[in-house]
Amino acid sequence: MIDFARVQKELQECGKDVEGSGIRVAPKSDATLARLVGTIPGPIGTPYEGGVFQIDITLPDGYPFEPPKMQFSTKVWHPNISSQSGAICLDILKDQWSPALTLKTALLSVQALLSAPEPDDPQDAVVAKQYLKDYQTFISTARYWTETFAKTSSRGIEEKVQKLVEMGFPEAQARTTLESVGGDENLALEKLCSG
Amino acid sequence: MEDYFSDDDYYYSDRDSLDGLENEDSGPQWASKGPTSKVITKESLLAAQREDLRRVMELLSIRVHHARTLLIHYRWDVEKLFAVFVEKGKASLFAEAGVSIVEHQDLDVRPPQTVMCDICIEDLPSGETTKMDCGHCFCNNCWTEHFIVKINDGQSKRIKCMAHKCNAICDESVVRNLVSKTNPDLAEKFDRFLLESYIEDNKRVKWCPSTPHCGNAIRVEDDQFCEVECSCGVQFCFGCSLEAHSPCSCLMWELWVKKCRDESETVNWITVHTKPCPKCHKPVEKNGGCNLVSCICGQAFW
Ligand SMILES: [Zn+2]
Ligand SMILES: [Zn+2]
Ligand SMILES: [Zn+2]
Ligand SMILES: [Zn+2]
Ligand SMILES: [Zn+2]
Ligand SMILES: [Zn+2]
Repeated sequence: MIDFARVQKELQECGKDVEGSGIRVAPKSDATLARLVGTIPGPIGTPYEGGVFQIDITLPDGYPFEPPKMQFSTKVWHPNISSQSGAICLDILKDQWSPALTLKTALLSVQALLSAPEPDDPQDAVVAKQYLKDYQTFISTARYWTETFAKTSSRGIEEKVQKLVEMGFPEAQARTTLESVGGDENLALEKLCSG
Repeated sequence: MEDYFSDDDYYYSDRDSLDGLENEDSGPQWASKGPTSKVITKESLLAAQREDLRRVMELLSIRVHHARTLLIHYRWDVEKLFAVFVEKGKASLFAEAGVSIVEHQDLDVRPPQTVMCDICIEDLPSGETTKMDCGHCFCNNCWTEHFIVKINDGQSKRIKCMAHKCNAICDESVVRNLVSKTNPDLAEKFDRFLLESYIEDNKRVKWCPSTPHCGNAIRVEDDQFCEVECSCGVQFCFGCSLEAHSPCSCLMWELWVKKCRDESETVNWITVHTKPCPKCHKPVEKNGGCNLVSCICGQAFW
């Protein structure tokens, strides 16, 4: 009983403003709108700058009257995000959720969390401790993780497109699909096969 | 707690009587048990609750759902509520409890034909939408879905408006009306939750701990915890709801009982996996690695 009509409208609305916000939301596959992938650019002036972060979204049956479940699938070093599982500690994804919020506004809040960590309410105790006790090391670790896990060089994308073309998909379609899932080969392949 | 009310026949499903409090003359029928405590029977529960509601409605000239929201916030402590009113004034009393009584001057004489609901993103005839006290307006279908989720989630007593960051508590008559159209059973459950709140959120009232439950609750007249006796014959300590244990303190008695039952594993599990809510003191389960938890009473804490 997810309100799919609303989800559809949300996706359209979000798609109109990708240039402005950099926030993308796309279905994981064409089979259902209940599993989606969100993409947020790392905020400028933070150790996440230049990275593109993917977030797995699962809509509960009661959506939008219950909050969407969101979890980073890109590894990220942040006090309020588990470095192991990607679980996010954010009030609007819990008791402060309101049905008037959307996937896009929720992702914007996640992006804001990247800019403004709250180490006093940690999801990842190790990261939070480092943030409070050794801020410089925290910054360089977070930057290193961004470089390692959240950046796909343009050359990397070309290689992936090439690989998909070799598998028999049209180049343009391979490219747009890859872009829509933030450069994740496996997701792109899944999407192309189900589509 | 569901067990207490497995038989529904005692329950006043007469909805009009909840709204028409002014016409109700019979006060709570106390079965007196000593000078400091009173037994509230199933039958007198509604009357006892009404009495407190009426006092607040009369003093502040407000409607029943506002009075209830205030009383739930102040744990049915009428004196405390009045003290806050005198000390801080109406505005801050209301704001703290999430009551909004704002005059909405609709400048346009004719209401718009259609209203866009921000939740389902549909244009709807204004007749199919409802504006809450806070001024936020959404379609009836969306309100209904929201209420159903919140009632099933155990939040009947504090169902907030759907707008983000709006602290207003929804009008109980709107909740009752909309939910009963599609889920009459759930609407009754909602009413029952509101009724039970008089006992569960009331620091001076406690369920009698008898098993099987006799259906009664005990009200004490002062803050001093004491040993009380229910009309079913059970004697218990009002402080901890365990059997009467004077002169031993509640804490010592609790430890003793735990030791006797050798529930050390259960106790361990509770300390590792739950935290006591600072407001209502119920243990609340921690979820996942994050430390932010929220209690069904509405309190969020770390
Ligand atoms: Zn609606
Ligand atoms: Zn509101
Ligand atoms: Zn009893
Ligand atoms: Zn005791
Ligand atoms: Zn609580
Ligand atoms: Zn938290």
